[in-house]
Amino acid sequence: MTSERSTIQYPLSRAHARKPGGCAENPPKLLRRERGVEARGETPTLQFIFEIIKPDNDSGYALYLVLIVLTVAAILFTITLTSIRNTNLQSIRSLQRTQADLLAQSGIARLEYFLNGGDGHDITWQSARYEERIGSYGAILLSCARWGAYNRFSSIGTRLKVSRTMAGLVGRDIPGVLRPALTLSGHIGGLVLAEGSAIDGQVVLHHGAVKRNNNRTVERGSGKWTVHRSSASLPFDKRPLDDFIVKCRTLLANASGDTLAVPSSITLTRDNDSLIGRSPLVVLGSCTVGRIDGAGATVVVDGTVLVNNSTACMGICFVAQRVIVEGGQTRGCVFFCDKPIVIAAGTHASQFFSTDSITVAEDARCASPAVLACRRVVRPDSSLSGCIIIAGDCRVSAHAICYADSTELFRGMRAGPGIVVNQGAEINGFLITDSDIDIQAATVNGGMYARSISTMHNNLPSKNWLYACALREPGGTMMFPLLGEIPMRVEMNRER
Amino acid sequence: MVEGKAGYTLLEVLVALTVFLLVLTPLLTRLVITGSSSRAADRITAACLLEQESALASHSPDAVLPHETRNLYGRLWTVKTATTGGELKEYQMKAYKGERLAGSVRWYQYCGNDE
Repeated sequence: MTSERSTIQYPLSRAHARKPGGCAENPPKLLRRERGVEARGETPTLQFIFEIIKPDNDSGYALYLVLIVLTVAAILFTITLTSIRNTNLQSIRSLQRTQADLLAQSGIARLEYFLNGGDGHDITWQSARYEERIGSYGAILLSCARWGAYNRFSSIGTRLKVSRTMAGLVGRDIPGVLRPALTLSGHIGGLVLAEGSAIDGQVVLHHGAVKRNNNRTVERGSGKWTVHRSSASLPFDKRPLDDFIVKCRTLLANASGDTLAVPSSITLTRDNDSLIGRSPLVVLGSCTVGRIDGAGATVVVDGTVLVNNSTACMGICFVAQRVIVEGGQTRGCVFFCDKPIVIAAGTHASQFFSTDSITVAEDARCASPAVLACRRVVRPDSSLSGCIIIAGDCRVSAHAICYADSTELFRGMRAGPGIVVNQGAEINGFLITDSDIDIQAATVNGGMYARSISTMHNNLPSKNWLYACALREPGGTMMFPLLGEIPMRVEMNRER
Repeated sequence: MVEGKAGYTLLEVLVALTVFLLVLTPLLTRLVITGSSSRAADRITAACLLEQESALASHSPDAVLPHETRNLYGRLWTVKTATTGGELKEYQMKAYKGERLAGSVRWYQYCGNDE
């Protein structure tokens, strides 16, 4: 049946197919649409859907369909673009990270260049902020400051929007003057190896020979590894150590006058680490150290610093009236006080400075790059105070340095040994003193540099007798404090 | 049945376009992503290559060649190195995939205490 201009009739079902010559009898009720739209071929289902969307409207469905299509296309397009952009960004960032890493390493190379005397600098070079731009490629930001016997450095390499940071402690390789296993700078001369002592390396004496046991038999082959020369009292310039101690004393002296000081005792933990954002933090009381990462902060305590079993501390310089170490773990820290320090227990990869004695007890462990530094002072009775004592059966990976201030009248004064190593101790590091070393039945993997060996054996004093000791060369690379002659190779202990 | 000119209604065209887009969009997307991923992979490869070569240069400065080729998965990569300076050397290293520059790095190295 032909549809009229304004109405549409759907095909009739078989049951209602028109009969020849006339209209269908009792045609079924049909859905109608107005306004001359031919919908030849539309199924009842589609028509039903359209009627639901637009029940009584004549404007059509094209717009909605177009909008739906565009929406879907836009979503897919956005996802695609985002995916492409992320992939590109990842690859670009990967390359820039490599570039920034190498720039940060370049900062360390620049530091090594300055410390080795480049551009008129020397081993004491320090800078709060040294910036270098490499054209339009990138930039290096370098900072370096004295941190006890080492330096603390930070090198930031920036390439466009990516920055990489390298930070930690910087020391050096072992100075050439400390390569021999044993150097005796005193003029007593000679050396006797007794009770199975062995030396693996060179021996430097002012004069005399190396003998075995009863001081009569020259040690076989010792001529090859014995060197005779005059040696300085210390193998390096001690001024950097003196300057650091003077700086610490100045901080301590000015503590009470600091208007921003914390007026009471505190416990330093991560919960209040905002306090150390202001460096130096001054505490007019005691300070108990908890779990904290100071990242190079300085804390001046006009009282006692307590390091106990709950301590896990990194990267803080403590300047105090007194330091008590009962346990815990410290790493990259510096402790200074004018009173004796006893390291009773714990594991400490830190530096300890005192103008009195430093004692490492049997239960304590020192790990590299630990330093025990003692600067001796004159007592009222004209004797020299201070020494470093390492308990028996102790395992210590540290360098021990004991020396007298250059302003002190060292000659003619009564001075005990600068370093005392008790029986059974094992030291990985260097023992350096401008005085005597008292050592028996101990192992030293590193070296010894002293005026002489002075010890009591069977209640008899002996000079330059080594009883049951083993001196060996250091195994592997060992970081040494930033002291001594240049040229040198920089060694790092990276924290970041 | 209506007798009229042959053709398609707007609705049919839109439906056809929709189907066409639904099929074409993922194909085009995959094509573009593949191309983009290929360039990204080249950049990452260049970054890794430059990192390796710079590490070798750091350990053995004398062994650094100005022009070095590497064959990676059947592709020829070239690393060109230029140095300037004395004690503090500046290195410039560029990685090429074929003739195309894929990445470059610059860094300093202290060579003053090399024996």
